[in-house]
Amino acid sequence: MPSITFLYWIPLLPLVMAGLLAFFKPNAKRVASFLTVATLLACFFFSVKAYLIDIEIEKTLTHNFAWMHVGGKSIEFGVALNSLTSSMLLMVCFVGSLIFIYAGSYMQDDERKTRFFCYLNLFAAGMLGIIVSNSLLMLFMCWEIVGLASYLLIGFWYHKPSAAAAAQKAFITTRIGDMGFLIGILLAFKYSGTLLFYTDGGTGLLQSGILSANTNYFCGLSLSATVALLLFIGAIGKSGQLPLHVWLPDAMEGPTPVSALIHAATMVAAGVFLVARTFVLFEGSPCLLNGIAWLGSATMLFAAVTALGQYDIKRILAYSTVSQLGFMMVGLGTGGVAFGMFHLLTHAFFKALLFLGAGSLIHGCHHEQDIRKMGGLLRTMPLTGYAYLAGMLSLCAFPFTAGYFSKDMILLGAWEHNKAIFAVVAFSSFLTALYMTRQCLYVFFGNYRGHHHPHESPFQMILPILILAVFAIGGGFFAENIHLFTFLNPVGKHAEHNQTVVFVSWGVALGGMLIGYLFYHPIRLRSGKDPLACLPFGIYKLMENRFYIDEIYAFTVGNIWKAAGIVCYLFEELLIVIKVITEALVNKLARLCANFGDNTLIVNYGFDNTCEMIKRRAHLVTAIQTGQVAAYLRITTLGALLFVLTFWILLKIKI
Amino acid sequence: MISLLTFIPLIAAGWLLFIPKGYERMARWLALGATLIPLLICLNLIKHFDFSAGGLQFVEKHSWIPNIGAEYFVGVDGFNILMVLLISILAPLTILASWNIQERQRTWFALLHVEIFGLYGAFTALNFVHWFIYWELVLVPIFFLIKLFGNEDKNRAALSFFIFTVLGSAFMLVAFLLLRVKTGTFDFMILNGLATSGKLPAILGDWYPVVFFCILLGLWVKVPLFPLHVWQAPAYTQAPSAVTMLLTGVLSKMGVYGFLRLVLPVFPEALNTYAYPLLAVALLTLLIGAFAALQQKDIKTLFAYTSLNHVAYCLFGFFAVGLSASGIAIPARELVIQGCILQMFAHGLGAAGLFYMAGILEERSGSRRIADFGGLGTTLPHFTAIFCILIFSSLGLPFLAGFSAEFLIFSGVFAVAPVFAGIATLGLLATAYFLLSLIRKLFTGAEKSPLPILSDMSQREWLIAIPLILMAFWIGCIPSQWLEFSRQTVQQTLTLFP
Repeated sequence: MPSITFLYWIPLLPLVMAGLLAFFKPNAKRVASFLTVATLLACFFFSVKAYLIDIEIEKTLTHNFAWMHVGGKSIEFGVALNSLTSSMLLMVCFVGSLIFIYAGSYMQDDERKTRFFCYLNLFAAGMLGIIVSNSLLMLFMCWEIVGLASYLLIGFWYHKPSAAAAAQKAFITTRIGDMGFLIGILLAFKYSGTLLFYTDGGTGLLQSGILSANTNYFCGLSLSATVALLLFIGAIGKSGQLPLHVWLPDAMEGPTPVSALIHAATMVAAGVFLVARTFVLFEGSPCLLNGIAWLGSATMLFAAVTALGQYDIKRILAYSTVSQLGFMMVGLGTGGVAFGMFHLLTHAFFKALLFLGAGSLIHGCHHEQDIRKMGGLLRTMPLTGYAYLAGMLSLCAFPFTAGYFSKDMILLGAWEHNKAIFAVVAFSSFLTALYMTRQCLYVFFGNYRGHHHPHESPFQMILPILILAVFAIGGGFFAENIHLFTFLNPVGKHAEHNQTVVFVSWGVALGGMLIGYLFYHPIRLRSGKDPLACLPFGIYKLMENRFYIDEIYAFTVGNIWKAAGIVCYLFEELLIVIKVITEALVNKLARLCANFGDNTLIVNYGFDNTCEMIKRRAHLVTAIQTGQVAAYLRITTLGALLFVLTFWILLKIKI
Repeated sequence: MISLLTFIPLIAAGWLLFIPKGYERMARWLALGATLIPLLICLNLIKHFDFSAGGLQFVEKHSWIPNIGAEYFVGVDGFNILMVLLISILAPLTILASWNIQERQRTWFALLHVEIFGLYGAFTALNFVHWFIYWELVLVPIFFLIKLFGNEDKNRAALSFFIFTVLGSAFMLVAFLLLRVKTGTFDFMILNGLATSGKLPAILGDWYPVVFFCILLGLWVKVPLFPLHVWQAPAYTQAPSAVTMLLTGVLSKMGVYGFLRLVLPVFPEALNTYAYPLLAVALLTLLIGAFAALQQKDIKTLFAYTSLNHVAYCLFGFFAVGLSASGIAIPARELVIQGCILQMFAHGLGAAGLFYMAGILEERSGSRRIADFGGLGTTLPHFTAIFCILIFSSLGLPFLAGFSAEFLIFSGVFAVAPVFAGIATLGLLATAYFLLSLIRKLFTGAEKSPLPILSDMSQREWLIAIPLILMAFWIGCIPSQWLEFSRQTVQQTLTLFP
């Protein structure tokens, strides 16, 4: 059995690098970007090693160690190696390296570039940690680190208030999901006493079936399904599913490489990965899987419709990402691990490509993000342009591109599972082709509508884009060649080939593009008004404003939250008032007692005579009453010393 | 060794008072030295600490006033060793934090040392009379420190701090007099023994609940728990930041420690009986702390409510110890008590750090209002970095101190009272929300113009911040080392529970 302890290095290397870069001077730009890329390439090397071991040995390999011992139990951490780990590792390291190379050029002029690479490394450490983790808790902890890195990166240009607000929104929104995730962990821990996925002895959460013993734990769900549901809430937050998708479009405030890395290829896919990793828990409950599929398809449709009404090039891609993540969830819910994961892997390539391309376009157009102010860029930025079109074709699932293969699988799975979901998904795919065609026609064709002169980006930015373009087109064949699907899912179900599905798949992709071309023909765009704006009932306005979801949240959740704060605040104030009144009463009472006591004593016992006498002698005592605390303390100390001395002498005498 | 540790600050306090005027420089070096020696002694204690023994170690026991059963009795075990370490870490930091104090320097350092002396005593003394002296003594220097050196509303804050805590102590005294009458001892360990053999409820008879509630009230104010926490926010806000470091770092832990020492081993039956109401109080406190913080406009008041929330987590865990559930696969009681102890330690360091940072900001700009700041991230990058690490530790980010303790507490509480734990996650969410809002308001956006130009961290300030940051990482990444201190003691004590 080969040792897999080297897997620990995969998250540790970027972590160490992040720690180092935190102490680098900000002017060490080149060194920083070089080291970052080198680190991730080293991780890629380890990933290849992991992949080779994995294809050789079919069962899951693990290595665990105890993180904490409490009351005879230990909370363990560890790494696990199976097809899920190795495929995801390869993707993240490969795409990540390309994005890091790109970032080196994109962030060239930023003063805090070193810090940027420090955060990127931190992100990579967390993300790779999620992938290799063999423990639910360790996965959660890395998951939070990824959330932190995303917070730091979205808010990287923190002098912009919008960026700072977006960063906070992302962290808080995903944390709502994380609370579900945390409770899921606690629940699993409570009944199983372990948080490991796999152990050599077969006692892990995913092996022993310990959680499936209780078949009716919560509202008819079995225990394992309840845990799964709670974990899925975490995935909803991270993967931007309805209703927690609101942070993802705002997250586009971050620098573009960040959007590509975090909000397209890797982090947002972590939710899908989590479901895939713990799929055993979901499997027993058809009801839950159905729910996931429905939520996924709803998200997919919603985001695709919204994307049609957006003008910011990155925002369109953001909604597209939300939509595609929903699509992956449909794959998981209807088919199984391989269906969702296959699309996750291909999507990572073409969506990273699209984001990097968008970054290059924005860079070339002097930080212009509005597609209405672009146009005809295929002539001025040909390399970026053609690569971008390749990504677009893959996203639209143009036959035989990478996206086509994975999309076909999910459609097949949905067809076999539930025809209604299939219909929603197929329609959303049609919309996907439509909004991508719209975007590309706006950006690349017609006449340039902006002010600055666009220019092609430097080679360091173009190279990663071109490499990704090759994969976006040819990745499907490559995946077929290595039997990726079977590799991801050695035992699970396989979709039967189906003529109808293939026909629909071709139909929606080609049809969407064709209709898009007719609809958004460059001549029609000259008017400056979107062709869809003529839709009745203000639907387009609704789409443009993202269905007012942010506003609705601000109005409901935001206000409830605020109200809770205000109620507590007022309550505190009330307590303080009560306190003040009580204090005043005590004060009054004390005075009353003192007066009364004085009078009685004076009248009854002739106390004042004594007092007179004391008063006459008092000058001795008052001399010390200087009112200086230091002097008092000095005397107190003397007294204490005297006391101790007397005490000591008395003791001595006794002995 | 413990006596030496305790009395060095007292001797230093006496010495400091007799330093003549004009030697202020010497005074502060003396003050610093007198806190570093106890730190070394404490490290030595830890070096010789026997992890496999659950009982008391380094015991010193002398007869003192035999007629009333008062003894000089000190010792450490799993419950207080980390607290002693916490004091010895924070003590030099508070001295450094007030290094540049201008007025009444000797008084300041002397009072601070008396306070440190009292704290060491309060966490190591094991006979009631002996312990109670320290328990009361620690209030006096704080009162003067707030009254003499505090901010604009210092008199009121000092007074209500004193009244409330003394009120609590009065109940405590009554409880122990009753105990003394009934059992004939002031010794915590003998009381512990009586409880172990199950005789205590019979001996106390009808007085059992009275004694329990008197002790409870005494600790209630100190922790503090809702609704007796009203003294806390003004005291924390008005006190100079070095004093607040001690107040939040150590003084607030005295109450929790009291629960571990006086309630857990002595009143297990009462903890079983009243588990749900007590848990509800802790839950209410932590929610009120979190939500009241949402509305605060003053940085220090905001941290005071954060502190209220975080210390309530300790007791949220602690009170769950009285509950049990069937069919669970984890040792819930060990989890909550261990979590409680770790949270005390972690919060002590983290909260002291946060108040210190707030103090720096106040010192530089003369303001504590959140609205007065903005865009500090550009002008004070190092300050921002440290501040943010402490904030993230406080909001429970994994691999930092807050998370490991909170995870233990939540896993234990969830096992026995899932609904409570579920509601408490709202507190976690609110904490994250207002702390991140604070970061956003202070450090991001455009710079506020009327602020004077602020300078970044000085070397002395780094010296204070670095140990706190390192500890936050250490506790967060390798919690098992810290849990090891209390493991045996906790296990032995928990045999009391069925």
